[in-house]
Formats: sequence, structure tokens, C-alpha cells
Amino acid sequence: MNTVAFLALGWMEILLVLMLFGGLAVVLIVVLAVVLGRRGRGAPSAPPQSQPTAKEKVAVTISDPPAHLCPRCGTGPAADAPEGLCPACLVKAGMPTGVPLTASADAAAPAAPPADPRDLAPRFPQLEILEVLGRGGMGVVYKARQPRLDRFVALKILPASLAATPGFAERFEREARALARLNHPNIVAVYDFGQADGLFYLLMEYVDGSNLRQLIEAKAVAPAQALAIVPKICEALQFAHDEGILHRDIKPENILIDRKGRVKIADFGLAKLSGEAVPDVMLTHPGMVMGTPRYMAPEQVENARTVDHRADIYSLGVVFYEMLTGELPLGRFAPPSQKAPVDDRLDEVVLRTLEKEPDRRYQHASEVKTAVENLPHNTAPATVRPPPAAAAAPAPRRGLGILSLAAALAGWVLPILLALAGGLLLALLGVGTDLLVLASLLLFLAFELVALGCGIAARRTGTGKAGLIISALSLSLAIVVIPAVWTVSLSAAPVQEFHHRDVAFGAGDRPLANMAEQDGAWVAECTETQTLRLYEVFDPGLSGVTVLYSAEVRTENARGPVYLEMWCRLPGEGEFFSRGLNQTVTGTTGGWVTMKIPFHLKPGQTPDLIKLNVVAGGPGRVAVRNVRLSAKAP
Amino acid sequence: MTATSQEDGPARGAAGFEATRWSVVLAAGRDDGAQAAALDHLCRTYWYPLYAFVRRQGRSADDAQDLTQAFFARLIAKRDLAAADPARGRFRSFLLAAMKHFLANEWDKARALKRGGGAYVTSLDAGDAETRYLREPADPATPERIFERRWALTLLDEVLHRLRAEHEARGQRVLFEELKDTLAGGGGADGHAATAGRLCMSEGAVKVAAHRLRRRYRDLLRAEIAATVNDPRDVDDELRHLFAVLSV
Repeated sequence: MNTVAFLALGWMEILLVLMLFGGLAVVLIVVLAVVLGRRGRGAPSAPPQSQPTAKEKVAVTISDPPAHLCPRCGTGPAADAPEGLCPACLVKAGMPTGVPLTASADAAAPAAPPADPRDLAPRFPQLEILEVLGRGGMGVVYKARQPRLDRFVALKILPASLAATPGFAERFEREARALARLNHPNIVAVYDFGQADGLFYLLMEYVDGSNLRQLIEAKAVAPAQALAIVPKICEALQFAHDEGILHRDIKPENILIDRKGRVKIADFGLAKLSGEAVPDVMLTHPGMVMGTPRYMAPEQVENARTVDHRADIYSLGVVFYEMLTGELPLGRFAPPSQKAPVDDRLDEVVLRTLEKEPDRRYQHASEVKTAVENLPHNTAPATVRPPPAAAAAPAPRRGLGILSLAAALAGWVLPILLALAGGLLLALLGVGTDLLVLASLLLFLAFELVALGCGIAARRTGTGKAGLIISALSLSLAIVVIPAVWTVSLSAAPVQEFHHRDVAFGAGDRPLANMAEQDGAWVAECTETQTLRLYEVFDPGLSGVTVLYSAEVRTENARGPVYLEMWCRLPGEGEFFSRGLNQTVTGTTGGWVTMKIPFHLKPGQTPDLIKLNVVAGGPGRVAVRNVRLSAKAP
Repeated sequence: MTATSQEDGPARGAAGFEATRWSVVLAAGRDDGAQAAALDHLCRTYWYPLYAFVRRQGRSADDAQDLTQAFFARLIAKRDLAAADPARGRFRSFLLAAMKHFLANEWDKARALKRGGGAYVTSLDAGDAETRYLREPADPATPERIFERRWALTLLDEVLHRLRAEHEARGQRVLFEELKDTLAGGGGADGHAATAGRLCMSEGAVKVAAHRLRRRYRDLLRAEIAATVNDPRDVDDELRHLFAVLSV
């Protein structure tokens, strides 16, 4: 029995560790699998390259614009904002009406704090001004509604600092008129423009979607989408260039993609409004995302006034490169095919748009479009290798969640249930053997292999992150647990030998004291306090364990306490006793009382003699039976 | 809610100002209770931004607590405000400059004093400070920026707390809760109608109440800012500074 008990103990210890470690991991993994699975299902999957529709429509995930911005001033949220209110607006409310909140000299203020929508309302009676959409070096954009036309519009208020530059009004009039003529499906339309109480504004088409910057940052632009977006930009640029209008500020922020996947270029020609000051405006206005003219053609950086339409082609090249690789083509940059899974024939197209010399670039935006579209789309898998995320297998992403869950189940849940069942079996039924441990370990290993299989399958069908993680974790579980269980089961083995030292004394074993046998028990009539010597065990072969002495006792008219007493003789140390003074009987018990006392042996303490006595604390009749000496692990 | 009682706010424009709290502190030679009380109030209100500043400089929580307490203890006990340049005129600037000076020159001395049995004068809730600091965003803001931002938020907190307390004292807690969004410009025309329905008031009455709340808030905000500047005419400028700090 002791073997079983020890084995069960070992199992239970491992189980405790497992439950702690594994339980947490299972929760983590299941959550991860569900989240990844849901994301995979929620996002429209990338259109396969072989479908010609990829050229027609841009399928990208439109995420909502960054949330939690204050709808009135566009600033970010504050941690523990007072009373949950926007702090910037709260401060603003402290200003007497009419006093502008322009920056004081010592403050690092944004260039033009957006006016409150409510302040704007009187100036635009024909509009319902709803919220701030964004702000940058070129002003603040509000979402507004034209009630009579029942449509949303974007209202752009140009920064006051810009309006203050000499000759601005005239320039604004001229440029805005030209912009209003640009009527193209890939260009954000200008409905109206003008001046309201000194504020220069443009009323534009409202695009419900995201800009390319948000998509790039969300890694939502696969090479296939880049190849679909670029021709649309080219069409818009070519159209504008034919009208004699340059964009001058092509960058991901200005390329909008609506919820139906349509590409729209915003802010055409607005950079020109700031005249020669383009690079300065960009450098000094922190609201602009890049802050430096990274998308500008080299000749535009040198002299913004003398650029022609080929500067837009260079900027387009930078955007193209960034969409493909996620990086900017700075310094000595690698061709896109070295950074992303795209065909190397694309390198030539991208690099030619990025030529430093305008004469060596494509001379027209339409040429870029043609070059991109003439890439052999029909042999798409060879042309554009899909990134691992949009893997070749057309299997639905749903497989990812199920396979990951299966991996979690096989790698974690089943082994833990197995260990639990094994532990319980050992503890309750007492049928533990080495064979059982070995069988359990083999089964455990089998589960882990199944988990590994599921992980690999998940990796092949989906994005594979969850499957991979689960496989790795469950393998590490196996690496930890299997040797641990094996070691414990080996270390438990010596206990088995001790099992044979378990000594029981029965009716046939006459005690040392003078006692009479009666109904299978030994009885003594004590007349005074007396120690009844029962048995002596020489060389019991015990060490480093807890020795247990148990017996059933019955007394009649015992005047003093009756209890068990055990003496252990340790060679070289002397003789020590253990008395069950916390479990004594007196008087008449009426039945048998089981008593048990321990003696704790330190490692290395090996008694050569153990004496088992019963002490009667006074006169009376004492009967003893089923005397037993056993041991357990400390 | 009576309109007249709200007209009596302490900060009705620059002209009607009495000496601000900070100018009382700065006034040389006025060694009366007013000075100590004014300084004590300012320190108690605005010590957390300094704590955050010290923490963001990379000091441990224990160090920062010791340091902030020692700093204020010294400031209040010694009143060595001669270092405060009245020309700067703002408690916020002074506090930050003084703390930097203290960190550079005085801290070791102060620590020695503490070991030798120097007693604290102030009792700041340091445990609470660390709890708050751990909630600070882990952005790479400089210690100065975090100080400025915390300063602004602390000030707003203080003002809103007083505004709320005023309303609760008048039994208008629900009204405050309903209308507080309008302080930051929230709540539109239909919002007032909905609020009126919930409060069993007419829409016109809600509009008036919202207007009064905003005016009272503005008065309290300006008064609180005025308490931290030497010249009441600096209030607008300080407001612009706070706005710039918060809107980046």
C-alpha cells in the first residue's frame, strides 16, 4: 500500500504544479485562438492574386479611425481625465469668449488649435458641424452635414498662420477655383470654397473610410492591394496633370480609401497655397505626421517653385515603396523584392519612379499605371508571391481557430485530465505500478504529438501564429513533465522495499509483559501505574521516515490515562521516546479505540531497536489488539 | 441655484483681484500666518505633479517619496523663497525650478538631515502617489512634460472638485452630473431636451442652469489659476499655456 500512496503523492505534486502552470496557459491559449480566429473571420480575406478582379477593386480592411479622440478638439484622451471630461476643452472653457487661444510664447503649442465646432456653427449656417476629423499642417478638417442635400461633407479650415501670408487671398481664390474643376472619381471633389469671418475654408467630398497611413500602420496593405491602389493614384494624377495641376504633397495621409475600397486623393494642390514655404510648413508643424519632407522629390526639396508633375511621380514612388515594404526608401535602400514577397520585375517599376533625376523617371503617371498593370497578373502566383499571412491555401481562416483549439485540447487539457485521472486512480484504487506510470507517459507523449500535428496544420491553413505558439508551449510542457514524472516514479521506488518492513502483531504474538489472551486481544489487570511492554523490533531497516505505531485499546475502570509509547534506539545517539499524551483514554471505553503515534526519523537516523509499549496511568483493566508498526514518507 | 451668489466668485476679471495666493507667498517680509497657509495650500494641491516629475527622472518610489516630502518640508519650514524670482511670477515655474535646484544641490544635505532625526513638516499621501504614478502612461514624455501635464490635470481636478462640492452642498448633485459634460463643450440642443426630461425641468431652465454652471466653472478655474500667478493679468496667458500642454 505504501508504494501506491507514495506514487499517488508524487503524481499529486506534479499535478498541482501542472494545474497552476497549465491552467493559466490553457486559458491564455484558448483566448488567443478565439481572438485570432475571430480576427481571421472578421477581416475580408485578401483576394487571391489569380483573380483579375484584384485590378478592378481594392479590397482592404477599413478600420475605424483612431477612437477616443475628443470629438470637439481632436486631442487624444487623458489618463484619469478629470470627471471624464476632455482636459483641453475644459481649459478652453476658461477663456472669456472671443479671446483667441493662440499659443503663448513659452508654450510648445500646435500650429493652429482647431476651433470648437460650436464656435464655427454661426459662420456656417448652412452646415451642421459634427466633429473634428483630423488636423495637420494644412488646417483642421471637420465632418459636417448639409441638411438640405442630406449628405456629409468635409469642411477644411486652413490655418490662420497661412492665411496671414501676403497675397494669400488671391492665391487661394485662384487655386481653389482650379481644384473645384478637378472632377475625377479618384480625386476628393471640392464642392465650395471661400472665406467666412476671416477663415479660409474648403468644402469637400466626405470620404467614409481610412487613409493609407492608417492602413499601412495596421499592416492591412498586402502587395496585391498596393498593385491595385497604385494604378488608381496614377489615373488621378494623370488627370490632374493634364489639367495643369500638381498635387505637390502626395503621401499616405492624403490617399483615402473608402469603405467600398475606392481610392480618393485629397488635398490636391493645397501645398501650393503655402507658396515657397512648403518645406518650412512641414518642418515646423508637428501636426504633420512625418514632420520632414520624406515624400518629396529631391528637386522639390531644393526648390519647391520649379517642380513639375514628375515630382508627384517621385512621391508616388515613395508611397508605393512604403506600401510594399512598410519602409521608406531612405539612403541606399533595397529593392522591394528583397524586403517583401513581390516579383522582382516590380523592382524596376518602383525604382524608376524613385530616380533622383526627373528625366530618368517615368515621364507620365499613366506610364506607371501601364507598367504596373502589364506585370503578368495572369500568372499571379508567380508574379506576386502572396505573403505568408494570405497563404496560398484557400482554406477559410475558420480552420485556424478550430485547429488551434484542438492543439490546445490535445497539448494541454487532455494531458492534465490524464494526470488527474492517473493520480486519482493511484490514490483511490491503489492499483499503481510502474507500468501504469509508463503507460500514462506514453499516452501523454501521444497527446503532445497530436497537438504538434494540429499546430502544424493550423500553421499551414491559417496565419499559424496561434497553432505555432500552442505547439511550442505544449512541447515545452512535455519536456518538463515527462522527465519529472519519470524521476519521481524512480525516486518513489525505494519506498517499495520498506513496504516489507511493515510489521503487524496479532493474537499469536505474545507480548513481553505478562498479559492474558482474551478474544484475540491481550489483557492486563493493572493495580498501579504500569508500563506494559508489548513488542520489540530489532533492526527495522527504517531511515528518514516517519514511524507510525498504532494499536486498538479498550479499558475498564482505568483510573489514570492510558496511552501508547514508542522508544527508538539510535546507535550513537541514545534512546528516544514518543508518547501519545494527546490521545489517552480513561475509565471504561465500552469499545475499541484506535490510537496512533508517530516518531520522526531524520535522514541518516536508523534505529536498531524500536520498543512498543502501552502505559496505564493507574489501576484498571487494559486490553490491546491489532498492534502495528508502519512508516510513511516524512 | 441663485444667479447672484454665483456672481460673487473670487475671480471676476483682472481688475477685481485681491492679492493672489502666490503673490501672498512671494510678498517679502510678511511673516504672518497668511503666507504659511497660502504656501501650505499650494503645496498640498500641487505636489503630485512634482512627484511624477521626480519619478520620471528615474528615481525609485521610495526615493521620490522621501525627496518630495523633504522638498516641501524644506520649502515650508525655511520659507527660503528668496530664490523665487518674482519676475517669473508663476508658482508652477517656480516649483519646477526649485525642485531641479533641490535635486542638484540640496538633496544630499536633506537626506543627511533626515538620518540625523530631521522631522517632516508635511504629511503627503505618498502611497496614493505611487498608485497614481503607476497609472501614468508609459510614453517617453520628458519629466518636464509629465510635470506640466500633471499640473494642468491637477488644477482641473481641483476646480471640478470644488464645483461638484458646491453643487452637492446645495443638493444639486444630480444636476451637476447631468450638466457636467457641457463644461467641456459637450451636450447639444437635443441633449438639453433629454436632460430636461430626466430632471423634470423645462428645456429653457436646463439651458439656463447649464449656462450658470459654465460661468461658475470659468470663474473657479480662473480663480484657481490666479492663485498660482503673481500678476492676475497672467491668467489668460497661463490658460493658453495649459491648453497648449493638454492639446499636444
